[in-house]
Amino acid sequence: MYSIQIDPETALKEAVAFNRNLLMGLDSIAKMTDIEVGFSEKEAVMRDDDVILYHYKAKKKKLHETPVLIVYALVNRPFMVDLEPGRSMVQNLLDLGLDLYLIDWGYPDRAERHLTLDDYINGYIDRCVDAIRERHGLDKINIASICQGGAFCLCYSSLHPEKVKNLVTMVTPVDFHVKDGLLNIWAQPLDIDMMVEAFGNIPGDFMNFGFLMLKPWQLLVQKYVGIVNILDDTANLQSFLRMEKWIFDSPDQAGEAYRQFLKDFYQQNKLIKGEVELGGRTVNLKDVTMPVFNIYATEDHLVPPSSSKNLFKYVGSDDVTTLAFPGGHIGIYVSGRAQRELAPKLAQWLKER
Amino acid sequence: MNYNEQMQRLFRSWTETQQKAAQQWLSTAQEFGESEAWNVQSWIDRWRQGARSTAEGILKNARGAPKDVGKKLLESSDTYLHFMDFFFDAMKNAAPKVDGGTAWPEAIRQYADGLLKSVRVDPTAWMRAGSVGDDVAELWKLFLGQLKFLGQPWLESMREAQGHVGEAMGGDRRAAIQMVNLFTDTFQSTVGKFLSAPAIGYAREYQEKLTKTFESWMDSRSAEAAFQAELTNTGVHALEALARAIQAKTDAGEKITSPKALFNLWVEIAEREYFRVASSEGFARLQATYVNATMHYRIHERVLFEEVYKACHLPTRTELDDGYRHLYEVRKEVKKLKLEVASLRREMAEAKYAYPAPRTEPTSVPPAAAATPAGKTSRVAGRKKIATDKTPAGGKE
Repeated sequence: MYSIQIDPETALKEAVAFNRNLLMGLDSIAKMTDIEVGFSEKEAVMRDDDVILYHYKAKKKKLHETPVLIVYALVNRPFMVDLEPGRSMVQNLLDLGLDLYLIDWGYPDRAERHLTLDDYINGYIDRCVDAIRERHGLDKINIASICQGGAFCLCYSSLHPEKVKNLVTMVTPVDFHVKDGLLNIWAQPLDIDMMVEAFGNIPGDFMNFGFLMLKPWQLLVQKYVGIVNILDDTANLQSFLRMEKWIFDSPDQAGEAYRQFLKDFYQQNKLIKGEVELGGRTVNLKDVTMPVFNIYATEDHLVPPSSSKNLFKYVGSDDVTTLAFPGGHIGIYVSGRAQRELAPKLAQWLKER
Repeated sequence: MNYNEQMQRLFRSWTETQQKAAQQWLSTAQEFGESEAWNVQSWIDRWRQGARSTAEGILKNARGAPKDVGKKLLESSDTYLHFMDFFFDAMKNAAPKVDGGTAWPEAIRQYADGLLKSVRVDPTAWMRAGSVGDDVAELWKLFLGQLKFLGQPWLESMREAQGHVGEAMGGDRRAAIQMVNLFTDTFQSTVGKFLSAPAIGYAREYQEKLTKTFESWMDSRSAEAAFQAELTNTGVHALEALARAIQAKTDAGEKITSPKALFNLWVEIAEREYFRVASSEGFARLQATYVNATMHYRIHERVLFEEVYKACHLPTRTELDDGYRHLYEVRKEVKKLKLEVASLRREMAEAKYAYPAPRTEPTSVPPAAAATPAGKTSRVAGRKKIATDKTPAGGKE
């Protein structure tokens, strides 16, 4: 018997239910007010051009003396780690007694077009680290870095190991020439110089479209068909809309920084070869000698596991912990399991050091 | 006969008809300018013959309204050609009279009156009007020769395209790319050559920017077509994979009982097939060619827009970028200087503790009375001095 056994009556019922949900859901959509992300209370403690260093206000007693600086990627806003109550890595870490800071890179405009990776790493990150060290009277702080921010912080830790006590890297690409990531393959034949000349700053929408094209059917079609099922559930709908806001709120990337990141990291894989040059100094991952906690997502389609998990082979530290966490690139922060497991593991690891 | 066979027969018939029509026009075009005995009348006769045979081919099996419309079109074509006959004949008759001193409006009017009389007597006589002068024939010959050079490649490409259309409809994705390449190659070999030639004249700078922009636009459209063809190919592979998946489920006795389940299966398979194609180097190259060509066009587009901005007294992107670069360099220099100043301040503060400045005593005060007890500090308004020994300036007691 042929496998497609769709009974016309069942199909019609399904279609009617779909349309009913859609029509009734229009009411829910109409009642939605502006959606905010990044709800945890924080204060701006330093401004450096458009970059802001935030300090989160803890509601519980701080149990860890050494503060943690969260360094996110330049792509998308950093508040994915603080999406909403109940789905916030920041809130979970604060509840576990950590003292948290976060770098907000802002929205680069054309005036920032000439910012280089040296400006970001040896400039903004270094000044933020110095500001925190001065506030707390410490020589070293902890850094928790995410995705491209992880690549930046590996470079920073290599060049300034005296300022970093412990380094956490999450879903961080290290080997950019693995063949099971579409971004790695697509980046190779691109003329990056021409792209930077044409765009100046690389538009966030352009990068977004590239990310959507990694899984076009799921991200452009199935996701929006599925929303019909949650239109009558206000909480779920708000969560969905917050994710949508975060996904598409993409700042442009400064042209020169983008040029060097794509050419040196993606196209020439210089990070693991020890050939990245920043401010006249060469980055050697063997100089990363502090304890490292490397977390990667097992179903990550943006930074495939093979790109991330072998960090231990390249750094000079003899205290490297690698954790494979179930989930995707974003799910590792917003899934239910992540709320229960990731922050406690992270806090425990830092506490032991 | 099943549906596939019917469609194939239809495409084949349509393709053959188009090929025959194109061949007929092509041979007509080829004869232009080649025959020594060529004249307007023969050109008109050949055009009439070509139009009739094309119409007969297309309308052979037509019935009802399509056939009537086809016949009307043919008649209107005939009428146009008869008008051409009339026009050249009028010029031939009026020219000698103008030479003889008759005012040309009068000469034309006399000819028209004569023609009107003959039309009333014999309505078809004007259709058989004679040829033009030898000089005009020569000009027409040259003109049509050049038209042949520009037009013949297009006719040939249109003829070749018929075959590619049929192949594309049969599922050969390369045919679509070949068809696009056919037209872009024809463009390059005809009009494109003029666009690539160096510009001349007062506006040559702007003209060159314009032509380069247009060339880059053509390149980007060509790259886009190739990329879109590849994406379409991915969809075809996905459909084939879906059919295989459904067959596998049938063999396993599994059922799909809802449209939602079928949709989810489609998404899963389409995504898998897409990943398989998209992770190939060929796809990456096609995509990169498309992106690079678009960036190239964008650069030229900006150059063109900046010409307009300049004319409108507006700052251009290039000028602003130059300003931003200077701003960036100045900001970087200022930060560097601030760090150096802070460092120097620290060094100075450390130096004061390590090497305090010797105390200077006023001359009217006896040295013994002015000595500061050890361990105490003296204050000068606005500055705090470190405790000094009794040795006054100059080392005198």
